[in-house]
Amino acid sequence: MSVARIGDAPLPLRKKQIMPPVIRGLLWAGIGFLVVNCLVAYLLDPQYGDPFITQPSVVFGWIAATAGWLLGIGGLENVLLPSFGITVTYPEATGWRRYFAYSTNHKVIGIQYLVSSTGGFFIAGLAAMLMRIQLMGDHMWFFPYAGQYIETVGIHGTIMMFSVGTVALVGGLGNYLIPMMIGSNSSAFPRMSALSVWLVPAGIMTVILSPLLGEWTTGWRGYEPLAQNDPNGILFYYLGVLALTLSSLMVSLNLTTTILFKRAKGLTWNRLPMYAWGILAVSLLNIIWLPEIEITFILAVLDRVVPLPFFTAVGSPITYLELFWLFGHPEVYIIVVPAFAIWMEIMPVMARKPLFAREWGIIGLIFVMMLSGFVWAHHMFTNMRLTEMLPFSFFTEMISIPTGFAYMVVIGTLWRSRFRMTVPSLFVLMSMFNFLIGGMTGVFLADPVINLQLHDTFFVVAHFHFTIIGGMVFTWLAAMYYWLPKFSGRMYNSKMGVLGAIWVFIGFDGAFSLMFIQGLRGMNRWVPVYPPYLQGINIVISIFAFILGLGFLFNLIHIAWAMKSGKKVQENPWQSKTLEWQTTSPPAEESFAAAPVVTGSFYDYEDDDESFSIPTTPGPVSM
Amino acid sequence: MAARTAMGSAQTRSDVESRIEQRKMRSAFAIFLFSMSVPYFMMINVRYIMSGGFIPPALDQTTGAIQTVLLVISLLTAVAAVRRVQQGDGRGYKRMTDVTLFLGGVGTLMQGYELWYHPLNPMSHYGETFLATVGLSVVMGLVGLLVLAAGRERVKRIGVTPERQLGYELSSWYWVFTVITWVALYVELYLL
Ligand code: HEM
Ligand SMILES: [Cu+2]
Repeated sequence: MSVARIGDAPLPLRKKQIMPPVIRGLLWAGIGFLVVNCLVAYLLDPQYGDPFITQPSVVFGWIAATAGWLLGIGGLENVLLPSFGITVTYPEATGWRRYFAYSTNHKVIGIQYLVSSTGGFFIAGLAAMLMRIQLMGDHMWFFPYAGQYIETVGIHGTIMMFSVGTVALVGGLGNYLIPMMIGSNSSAFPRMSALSVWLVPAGIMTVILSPLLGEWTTGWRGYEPLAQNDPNGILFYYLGVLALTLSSLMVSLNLTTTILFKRAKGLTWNRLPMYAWGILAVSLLNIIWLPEIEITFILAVLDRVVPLPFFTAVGSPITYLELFWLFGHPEVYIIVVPAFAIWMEIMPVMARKPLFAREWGIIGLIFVMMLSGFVWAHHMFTNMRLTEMLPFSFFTEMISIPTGFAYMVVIGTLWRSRFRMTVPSLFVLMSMFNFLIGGMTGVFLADPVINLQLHDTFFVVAHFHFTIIGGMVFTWLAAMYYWLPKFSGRMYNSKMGVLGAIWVFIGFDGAFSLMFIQGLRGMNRWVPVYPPYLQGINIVISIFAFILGLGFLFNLIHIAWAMKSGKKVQENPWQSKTLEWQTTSPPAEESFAAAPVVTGSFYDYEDDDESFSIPTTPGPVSM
Repeated sequence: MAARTAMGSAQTRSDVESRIEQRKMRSAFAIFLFSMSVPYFMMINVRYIMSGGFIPPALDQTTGAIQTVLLVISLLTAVAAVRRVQQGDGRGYKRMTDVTLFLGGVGTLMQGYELWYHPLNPMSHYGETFLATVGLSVVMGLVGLLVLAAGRERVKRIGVTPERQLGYELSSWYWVFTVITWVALYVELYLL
């Protein structure tokens, strides 16, 4: 700021200053909550004894707080006012500040999503460490009350599923990479994603703050009528997950439209990158199933604040389970389908060979997507008759066939190739190995006879961690190492990368493969105490789990270090043909100076022809 | 398409781009409506799961019918507003949207009235679905009214231009969507 002196030419109008957006958002959220909460609690719906917080007041207060947060972060000037035709100048943040502000640049948004997800990952990871500490003893010792342990499990699962599993590879990498991969400089609705990303920290905070309203003991599934036994923490579970799923829904609308309409010239459907196919499949799942679960959660909230009896004991207790798992199984494929797609993206580059049976890879993704709507009841076999189980058992086992296509495509690609063993390829191979174990044990679990024995034991815990950590988190790490030179123009240290990969592999496989055995030997889920004969194995598992936690931390530090001060590297270190590598690394504000034209396959590594061309002068347009 | 270019119709780059932009917006809107119809399918399902085809005799069909008629008229005015804006007639759009806002506002208020003063026991299976379903419609209606009001303010402040036209159209179409879903809900909740 300069001070005007007499005699100076008139200064240009002083730029309007606003508070740092995050601070303003927090402030408005706080004010919104207080005002609306007090309005409801004291004026509109006062309850006996005038409590400061009531069930209705906290729900409406939360809605106001979330609105205040989104408006404060920049939604007011950039979305709300313009939609009423009022234009205001909004100083665009620069430098590192743009990552803490409303930004319409899809690369900034991608990083914002990735950082939020990583934050959620380590917060939920901390919860997991606390659980493992408790489980090192066979009696209550670390947590004073059983409910606190179960609540920790619930917070862990909820944040992992809804802010990491469904977010990192879609909102994070999807927002960053999809526009570049299809040769566009922006996503279809930049303002929508610019706002939706800020719902993620809001959702995570809501779930973390849930203990303020009291205990909830339902785990990540929010089961009703079980939750009716607890005080009100479950409200913040429903609302937090509502925010997180809304964010994913907005991302999916945006990315679907981006893929449909922002493709570069010549990028026909049979040239579309595998990752774009994966994101399309996932987005369709999101567009159908997220509204479904959102309404279910809203009904569950209404059960408390009105109250209505939908899912209570006098209502229809099994309905919540049905409605939850109707979404719940597609949810697990929402998590893992982008990971399959990333395998098929990384492996041909590393193998220097065309992607094998590409169409079958796509067919696999699409069939997995469709079948995932027919299997939900395998989570409820203990509540069903045998005749009802059989169709679900059948479809569940069938779904492993299109899943197998992803394996076939990758193995066919590696077959007799000039394979380069790099850190990303190592992580992809580890991911494939681990997901294989997860998927095969899933087929066992789909068998009613086995399921009735193993349901709610640690065998199931091991199964889904092999699919989710093994399938998705290992692939996330692969993707971070693979695209690190893209994000930063720098390279990781390969020795440290290999060390990080082996470290998490040992920690993960050690901890979770023992859980299969432990489950078979009678270790139940959702209980902090267990018979003494299981203590030895639990201690070993906990030690492996701590190793795993430290391993993730090590990879985080290594990746962060490499992004900042790794060795500088050429633009396209993997000699990949996909479009995102045809830009500078890190990409400029506008990724492509001139719109690229796609002229060949991205996965054709037999020859060294270019897969694209960049017109020097914009030619005549034809469509 | 290529043939058309060859025929020499004056097609500039920005022309094509704006056409793609239009297609993009319309398709995205269709996908959005598809997504937004999932809750309605769910609530209709929930009703039949919970209470079958039962309709309580005390339910007041007439109030429901009046508000349905009001909303259907507001649908017509919303469509008329779309026609106006397609002709570039901003004032006409505003006038028609005023009518839509009024009728839609009254209709939504009547729905709200039925939420407060209902002859049903909220603890009954029909009662709970009735309240939740009408509540869904009220919330979506309020969103629709907000969107319409925003469109009305926008047209007052910055008028209609070819690039902005679609935004006005889509806000009216969103209102059409809320009305159509309400008509379906009326038939489902009051008649079937
Ligand atoms: C071939 C593929 C798969 C099959 C056949 C399969 C089968 C099953 C079955 C039968 C159960 C129920 C176990 C029980 O509670 O009794 C189950 C649970 C679970 N599966 Fe899978 N699954 C497969 C893939 C996946 C994938 C890809 C994921 C995640 C990315 C996943 C995540 C889960 C989760 C989270 C649960 C436990 C939910 C809970 O009770 O909290 N599964 N799976
Ligand atoms: Cu499942």
